[in-house]
Amino acid sequence: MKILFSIIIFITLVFSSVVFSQSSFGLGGIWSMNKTANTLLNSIESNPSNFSKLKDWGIELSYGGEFAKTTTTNLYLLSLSKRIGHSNFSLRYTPGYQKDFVFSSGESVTFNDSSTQTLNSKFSYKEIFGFGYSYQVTDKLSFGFTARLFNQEFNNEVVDPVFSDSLFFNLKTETEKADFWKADFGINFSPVENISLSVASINLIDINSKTDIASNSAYEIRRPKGALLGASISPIKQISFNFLYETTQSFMAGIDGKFDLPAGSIGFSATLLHDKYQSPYIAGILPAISYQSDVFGITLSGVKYFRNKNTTQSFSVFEKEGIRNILNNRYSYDKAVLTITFRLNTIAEEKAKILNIKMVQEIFPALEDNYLDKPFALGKIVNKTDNKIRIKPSSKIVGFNSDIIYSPTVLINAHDTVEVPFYTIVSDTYSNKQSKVSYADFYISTRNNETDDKLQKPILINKINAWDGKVIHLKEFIKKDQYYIMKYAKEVLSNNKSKLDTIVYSLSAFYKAKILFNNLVKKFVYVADPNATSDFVQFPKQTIDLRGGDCDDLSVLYSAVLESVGIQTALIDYKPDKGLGHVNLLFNTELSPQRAIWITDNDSKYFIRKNKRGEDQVWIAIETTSLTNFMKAWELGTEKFNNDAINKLGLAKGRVEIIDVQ
Amino acid sequence: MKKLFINITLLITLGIFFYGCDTPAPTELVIDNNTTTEDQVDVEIITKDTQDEFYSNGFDSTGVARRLHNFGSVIVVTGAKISHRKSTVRFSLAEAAFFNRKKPVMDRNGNVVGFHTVLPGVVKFNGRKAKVIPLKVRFKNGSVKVDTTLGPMYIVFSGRLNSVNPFGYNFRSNIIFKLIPAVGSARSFLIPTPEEITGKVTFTGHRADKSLKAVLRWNKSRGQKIEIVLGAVVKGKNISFPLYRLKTRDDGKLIVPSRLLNTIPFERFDKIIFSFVRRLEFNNGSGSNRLKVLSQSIHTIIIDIP
Repeated sequence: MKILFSIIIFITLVFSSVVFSQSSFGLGGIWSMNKTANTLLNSIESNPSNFSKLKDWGIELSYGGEFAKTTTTNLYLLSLSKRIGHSNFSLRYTPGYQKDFVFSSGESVTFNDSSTQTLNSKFSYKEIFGFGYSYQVTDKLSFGFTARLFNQEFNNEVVDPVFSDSLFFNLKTETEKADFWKADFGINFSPVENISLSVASINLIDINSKTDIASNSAYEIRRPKGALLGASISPIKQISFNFLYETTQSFMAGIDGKFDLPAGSIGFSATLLHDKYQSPYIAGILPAISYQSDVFGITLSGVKYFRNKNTTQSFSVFEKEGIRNILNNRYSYDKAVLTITFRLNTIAEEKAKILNIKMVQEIFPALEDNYLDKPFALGKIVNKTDNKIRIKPSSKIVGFNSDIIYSPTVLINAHDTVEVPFYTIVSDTYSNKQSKVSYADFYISTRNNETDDKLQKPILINKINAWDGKVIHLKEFIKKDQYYIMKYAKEVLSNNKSKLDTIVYSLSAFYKAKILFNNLVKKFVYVADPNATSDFVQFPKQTIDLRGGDCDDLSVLYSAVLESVGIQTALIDYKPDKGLGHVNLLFNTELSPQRAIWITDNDSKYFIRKNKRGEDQVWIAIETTSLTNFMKAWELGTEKFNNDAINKLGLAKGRVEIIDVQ
Repeated sequence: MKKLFINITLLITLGIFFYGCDTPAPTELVIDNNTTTEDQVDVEIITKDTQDEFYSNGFDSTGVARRLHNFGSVIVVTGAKISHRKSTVRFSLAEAAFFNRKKPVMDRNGNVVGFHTVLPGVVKFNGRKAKVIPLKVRFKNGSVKVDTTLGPMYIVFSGRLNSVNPFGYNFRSNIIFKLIPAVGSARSFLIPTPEEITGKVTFTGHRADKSLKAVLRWNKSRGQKIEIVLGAVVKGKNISFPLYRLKTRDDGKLIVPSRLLNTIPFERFDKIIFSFVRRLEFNNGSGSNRLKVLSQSIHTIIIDIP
């Protein structure tokens, strides 16, 4: 930014002392850079740096009329543009960029037959051909150059005296020609989305390629050097204010707007021009209206001068000031131009771009359901087109996903930036027991089988038993090993069938839970988490196999066992002030409050909660780490719950949370 | 689809090329008083046959000092100077000729070559009585050169050859013309004189490579136009031909169209003559008494061609 500013100051200082006129005048009006890129491909005059956002091939044709005493029509411009990578090439042929002057040379001759003839002159100025190249360094910065070939032809009628038998005059036309190239360099810079800045030279390189002028050099196009400074500001997305300033003497100021339609967009532009060599102060206006779709564009533009049209054009003024611009000078007539643009895109167009990806959670393979409704990453995606697009985000975590995982499609308005969630799926077969750092590839596409943009970010994949410490996520562990646990529980209950058969049905849930707990504790010991953290949780089968575990392992196991035989459970999350918390559980005895007395006459040992059907039922708390017997575990669980959840108002304060497993 | 668009584009392009490529309307520029173009000039050939000394004017290359053209009754008063190298000679001349248009002089083909003159009385310029001399003309009668006298005319001359009867031509002043007829009352009027013209010729280049260039400068006046006669002097002879009459604005400067200089056959001519003529021209009287009056300042500069 400092460098750019320095360049602008330098060029301004170098060229501010010279005087020149409207060099940046183009027939298509002035548009903000972003819209120019889509509206007019080869407006070299106002875009010396050849800035373009063309995707591939572009063809443009400008045809119009000039309203002098009679209306003449001209093919003003035919151009071809091509983008290759970051480079943009343009070529244009300008047969209609021509200005002719006719006048009496001031010399008249009287022939021998006494007839008198005034000698006339015709001066023609043409821009023949132009080409440009630009390189897009980044989305914000582009630089390039344009070069144009001009031709000047001066035809003067002259008489040659002939001394033969008699002295007489021979009338003939003498022609002098001069061609020259002029080239300019420029930079376009968009520091922020709604501001575009440009700086370019005017007549920086001026090379006479063919000069055959002896007596008409005073009438050549004046080409003083200068600088062009441009700025476009968009206070709102649809509207831009544009300003082009040519060092000290000329400027153009205008507004343009663009509004999306279902199949394209429609834009307008109006620009006022001030030129030192034209009067009045605001010499004219350039209105333009344009319709653009992806492949086709049509722009109707023109220039209307405010000067008095009846003013006789004086040769003395022409002789003194000359002209500095073929299209726009004090002698120019009003014009109307129709520009047709075709964009032929043979390469996949990047309609959307990933600006950034933010990883919002690590991968805990055990928490598989967690990633179905909660994204593991959020991407900032921008719509680069002028239309509303539908993007399909997807991702693949290397070494974790076997296939690309597609997330829901998202609609993005033209040039909008939105936050897009990326979801993933945990494979059933994933069983890596070690954490590792891998990479996630993120893709966005607007079409089938073609990716608009992709980005890779590192991601931590935790080991299979890793847990994020959130008790609610223990439910994911409880769901594992369902078949094994169901088999285990049914075997235990089957072994106690005779006992269970004697119990009234209403107490079966209570007694099943009691039998299952007592069966487990016979074999188990409490083992604290070997990592001394809360990030490791055993799956139920692992706890059975290992014959022990800590509070979360045992709560997971006991909950899994009870759930497998249809007994509702809920985890009790005792949140710590600091350090590790504690987990045990509640289960539903399926007894109504009136029948609670069947299991205890101490009403502080049970709690009334609603079951899935909304009926009040008796739940009891079990301290799963109490590996003595069911009654003791019940007692300890009750004591802990009453103390922390009720007496200390843990439930009310959120320090204790009950999380239903189902 | 893409092919369709390409075809449409080509079709439109060809159509526009075929139907719609006019030349843009030119802007017509008008020469005005502020125009500084240096070659605003009307050019006229004076002598059509430079081989025939019949058309030469002797020393007076201008052909205007004695410009009794059209043989209408005319009064010509001239204040002249001739510069060659570093010397300048001045002379004054006043002439009056009264033609009888009922008595034409014809060549053998019946073309009028002049009218016989009459002497209506005594003519005085600034009170000095004019001499009466014969008015001679030369014309070609077929292939024969004829010298003839049309009759008498009045003349007052002073300067090089005759200082006996000095006639004072004062510039930016008036000359009193008086005609005292044999019968009837005298007729008198003032002839205004223009500002004296003093020319200067800057001559560059060389005839060998046809690079001659002459920039003429003179003391500009408010008059509308001056006349510059470009002539050439025959090598080794005191014979000059007035070649071209250039009329231009009295703005003080003229670059002579180089073609006029460089096409002169210098194997025959070794000097170029520029005669600057500032002239007042008006009519006096009406009907049969109508007189054409010319009052002029002439500066003739003779240049040796480099």
